[in-house]
Amino acid sequence: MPEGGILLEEFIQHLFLGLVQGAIYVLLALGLSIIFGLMGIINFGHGVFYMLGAYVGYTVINIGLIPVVGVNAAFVIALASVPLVMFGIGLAFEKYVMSRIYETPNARFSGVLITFGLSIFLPDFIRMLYGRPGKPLNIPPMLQVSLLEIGTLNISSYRTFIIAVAAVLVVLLWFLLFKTNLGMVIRAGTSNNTMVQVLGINVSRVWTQTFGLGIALAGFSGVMISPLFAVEPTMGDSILIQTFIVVVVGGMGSFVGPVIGGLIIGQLWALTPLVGRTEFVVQHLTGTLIGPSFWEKASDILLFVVMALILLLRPRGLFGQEGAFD
Amino acid sequence: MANETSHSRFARGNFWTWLFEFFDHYGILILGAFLLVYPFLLQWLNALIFLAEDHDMMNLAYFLSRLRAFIPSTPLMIQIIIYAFFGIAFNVIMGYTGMLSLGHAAFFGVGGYTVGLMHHWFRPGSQVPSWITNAFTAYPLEISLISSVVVSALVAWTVGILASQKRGVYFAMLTLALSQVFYYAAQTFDDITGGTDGRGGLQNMRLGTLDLRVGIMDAEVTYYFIFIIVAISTAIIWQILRSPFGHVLQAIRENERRARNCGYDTNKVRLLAFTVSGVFSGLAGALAIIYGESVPIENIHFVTSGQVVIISLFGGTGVFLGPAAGSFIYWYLRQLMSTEFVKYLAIFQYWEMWVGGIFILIVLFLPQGILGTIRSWTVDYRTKRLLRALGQRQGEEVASQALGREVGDARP
Repeated sequence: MPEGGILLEEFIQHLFLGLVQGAIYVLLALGLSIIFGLMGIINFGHGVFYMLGAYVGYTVINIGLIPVVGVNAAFVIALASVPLVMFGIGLAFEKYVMSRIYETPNARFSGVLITFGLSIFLPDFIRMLYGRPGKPLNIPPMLQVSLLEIGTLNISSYRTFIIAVAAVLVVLLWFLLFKTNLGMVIRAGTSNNTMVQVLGINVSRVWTQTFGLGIALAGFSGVMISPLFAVEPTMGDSILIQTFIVVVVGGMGSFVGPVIGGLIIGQLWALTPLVGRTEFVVQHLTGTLIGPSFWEKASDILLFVVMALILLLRPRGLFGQEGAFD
Repeated sequence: MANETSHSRFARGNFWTWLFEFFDHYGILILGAFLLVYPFLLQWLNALIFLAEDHDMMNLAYFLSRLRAFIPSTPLMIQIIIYAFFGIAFNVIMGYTGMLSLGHAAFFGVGGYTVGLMHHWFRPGSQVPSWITNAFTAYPLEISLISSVVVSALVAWTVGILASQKRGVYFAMLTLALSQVFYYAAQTFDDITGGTDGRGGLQNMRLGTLDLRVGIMDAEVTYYFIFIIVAISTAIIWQILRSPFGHVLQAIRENERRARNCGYDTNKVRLLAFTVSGVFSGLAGALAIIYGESVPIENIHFVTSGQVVIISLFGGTGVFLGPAAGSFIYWYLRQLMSTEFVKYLAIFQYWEMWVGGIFILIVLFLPQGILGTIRSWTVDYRTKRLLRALGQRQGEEVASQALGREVGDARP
């Protein structure tokens, strides 16, 4: 009879992986939350913009930079250019497509539907341009070393890089939102959009820029994660719903919410398989519906159960605004 | 000031408005009659082709068979009808109550899995008590269809209790989350459900009371079986929506607070509407299994929820038959693109791109869907003509009064 039990290295490894996943969730959720907070639109296209960012990064790296500047520099250039390109795409999409529905009575639904339509359009569009199988995007040599290896524990430098970059971005975003004029307008618009317009500020420009910012964050997350997982048209599907979970749990429209929510959900996602290996589960629950084999794959179900619970019990999330929804 | 003359002269619109309104009033019956004879029409077309070939009229035969490629086959019509039914059930809450649910695949899938799992568990030779397998083998489809209705009702009621308190986009996201729990449950408990492979090879698709075999091998029989069930259920839904209850749903859609102030318990009404919608969606899902004789896991995945939303919006959520039109457009175009157009231009294999693009265009420019837009054009056209005519009429009357003589049709 197997005994179960988890080694310390395993536990720390999972914590670390949860932190990496959490970092990606944080970036995606911040983008989604900022867009929703200001514009009231739930961007169902967030997943495909994530995927698009990865493909833009792949394209930049593979248009012949490597022989010129070397793999490492090409990677850095790709990382730097993706947010700019995605920002532009976000600006264009908001200005020419999304803005048409703001004056309609069912603007929120229309926003959901348009972005949903985009989430169906883009993957096949990418398939047409790049083919159905995924594309490889490799970790640059400078980040392939392992920072720490103890037994089965392996802290890779690329994953640490992701965490570090995400942390820097969060700080930069905080700075943007709380210390700049644009950030002040965004926060004011999130709080009371009509008042901001009455005060004479060009709201449509702020909306366009905010949307672009959210999309840039999504695309950047996509290109950052792609050396770890393949670059393929469907990579945005599951991450979209997971991002919704993070934003709902953390709180729509807030800043702290997606950050804390992302970290929590990341850990939940990573640690759930470990539950199936604890002594308690192995010895008492093997063979039942919630035995070890259940917990191996239970991350997704658990995430949804948490989301449903939050929507039922505390709809505004941990840090959301009171009374925004019923 | 319109008397009988002006009423008949000004209110008629033109031929096209009359035509549309004729279909608007009698469309369901016309559609039902058409679908009833559809397989025969296909058979006649086939017979015509053979006749043409027998009589050496090769050009005619070729032309007719090219035409046949563009006409939906019976299996395609079965799929169109099932999803039309699914869309109509979905529209009960979407178009009539104003609740956008992104998780209706849960009911569609649960209805399907009920049928599939019963056929799998209760097959002869399994470990279930023999009185169950005997009863089931005698009346498989009756038992599984009734069970799927019951199970869908329970599931819809439960999900509804949790979800119908919320409104708007939060309701949408909650239904999405809850339906994905079903999907991941189906994926995780794969010894029961077959996981991502689904549950295939179902046997004994038989209507016991009539000893009727349905399934892939018997497309025409299956067509009529499904058609009859869909027709009866659609009639039931139509009556529900025409009843006072149906009007309360629309009142909630227009102004929920006002409906509440009129004394209706809107939460209970929404729950009931959600349950009705879920029950018929589950029935649609069960019918989908009956033809394919297998349960694919996609039927319970978000993709299917998205499909029913697209279908309903293509045709128009404001029209009862909107989802039916949308289902036809969706499946027909999809088939057309992936089998016909793709021969000419390879990019048509990416039909999802086209569907997504067209969907965005419809949301932007035809938010009422195709049928809904035609209906509002008709109303607009007739209203404009009526107003212009009224204006002319009143002008004539004023002029007659002033001039003391008859101007146009009016007398002083």
